[in-house]
Amino acid sequence: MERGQVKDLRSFLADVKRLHPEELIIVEREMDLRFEISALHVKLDRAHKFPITLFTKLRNVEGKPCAFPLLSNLFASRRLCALALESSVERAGLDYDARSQNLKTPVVVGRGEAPVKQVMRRGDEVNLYDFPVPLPYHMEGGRTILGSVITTVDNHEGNVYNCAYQTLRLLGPRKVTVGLGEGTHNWERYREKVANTGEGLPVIAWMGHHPAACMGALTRVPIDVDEYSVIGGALGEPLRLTPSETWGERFLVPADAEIVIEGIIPPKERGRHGLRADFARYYSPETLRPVMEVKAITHRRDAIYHDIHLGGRDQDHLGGIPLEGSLHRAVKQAVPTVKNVHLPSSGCSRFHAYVQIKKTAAGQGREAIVAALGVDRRVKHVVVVDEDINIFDDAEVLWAVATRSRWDRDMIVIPNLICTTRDPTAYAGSPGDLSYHAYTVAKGGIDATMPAPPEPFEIRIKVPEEVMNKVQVQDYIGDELLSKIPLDA
Amino acid sequence: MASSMRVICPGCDEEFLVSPQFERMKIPAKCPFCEKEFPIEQAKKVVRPSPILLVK
Repeated sequence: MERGQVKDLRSFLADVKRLHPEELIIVEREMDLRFEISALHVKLDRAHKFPITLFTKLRNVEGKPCAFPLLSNLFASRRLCALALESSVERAGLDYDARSQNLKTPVVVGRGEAPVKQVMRRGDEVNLYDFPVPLPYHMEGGRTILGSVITTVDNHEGNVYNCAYQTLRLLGPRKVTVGLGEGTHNWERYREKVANTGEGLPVIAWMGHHPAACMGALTRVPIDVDEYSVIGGALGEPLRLTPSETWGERFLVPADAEIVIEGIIPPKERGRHGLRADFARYYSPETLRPVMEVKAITHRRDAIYHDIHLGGRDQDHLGGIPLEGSLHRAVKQAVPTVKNVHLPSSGCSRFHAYVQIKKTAAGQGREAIVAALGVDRRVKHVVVVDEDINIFDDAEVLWAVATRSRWDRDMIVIPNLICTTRDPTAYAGSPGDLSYHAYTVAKGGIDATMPAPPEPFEIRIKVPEEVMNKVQVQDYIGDELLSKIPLDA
Repeated sequence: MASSMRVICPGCDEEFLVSPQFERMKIPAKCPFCEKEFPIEQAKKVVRPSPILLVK
């Protein structure tokens, strides 16, 4: 990024174009928003290719030529997520966590300095159907805005903002349901506001920002911590804010976002938040969720609509990398020699956690399992391995399970722990009870570590390091032939 | 979700998921394929999850 430039989606795309141009694909051929964009991403996923995709020729929800290009797969490449965090593939979660703990107070700029104010629409001028909102999977009965960070504010003691990725299901040109899950911070704000005042809750949805800012919106912090400051930490510079159109300085919005949607969630109205795909690669049934009446939309003149590829690496990394950092911090309190944590895509970057430790004492594997399970209700299975195991390689972790664990002694199973409602194997508290705390499941972990020194264990085979460095495959087989050898299963 | 009901739409014969919350609250199901709204008892077929405990 050039010095002095504000970090936003465009600065990041410029970095990618400069450093990894092959990982930003611009699709100029028209694609149908009904399933076709998902089909392309699913096929790219299967080919183990994860470029950012920008679709320039689309039709909006009403089938008319669309003015907004659609950007997707922004988080699909872990390498590019690491670039956004000025980190490495291995350390992205850890560095993310360190950054997000270093809060940076936002700065406020005038509307004239805020790119997101270049176009303003209020009242009847607002039409959400102008956006290219895809229909990703076959059973979805409606269009859902996925890339929006839902933000609420508590004005009691200064402005304390809460941010979270929550979906918006289109009900009309100025009406959506908001996927507020019970028990989330935004839900608590809504519940308190209605209980205390009987009034609706002001809310904004912002979309399209630097990926570090987007990940910052998913940091787990107490409800009284200002998340705009957390996002500034993740971003590495203060988030620039500007007054909203509807509430002015009482509700500030990100100045460098692509799009901001402002609205009110009225006290009692509920709407159908339709059947939709979720991170676990299954469908969620239709639920009733609060309705948002949209009052204003502001956006850049050439705004980019940010969509998320559901059920793929894009969604995995967006939630998974921040969670890796939280897990590492929690495990470190129990096992100071923890080296790294990874939430692999094989567990949707939520269910499985691989924890790598430098084992110095007996029992640390089990300590790490228990510590990791307490961090987030979505984490279900923890595998603890030694520092010689590459936790970014599922096969190597499973090799450690195969050769270093005895399940009569090295497995922990804890029944009836609270879990995500999205776990298809969850026990429901009672039929039809969809409340946040009603779902439980058995969780546990496998200690796949070797005994702590000085206890002996078998010695792993290896080629001498100097020979590994000396023998380069290309020197003996040749690049051309090497590229022709097919990848095996 | 373990507690979803599978129903078959009386309008288009497609199968989709409904939350038991809707049945409890007597909210009509809405088919995502043909958008027909119908009381759940009018579904061509309803498969309910096992109560309380999921049986695999």
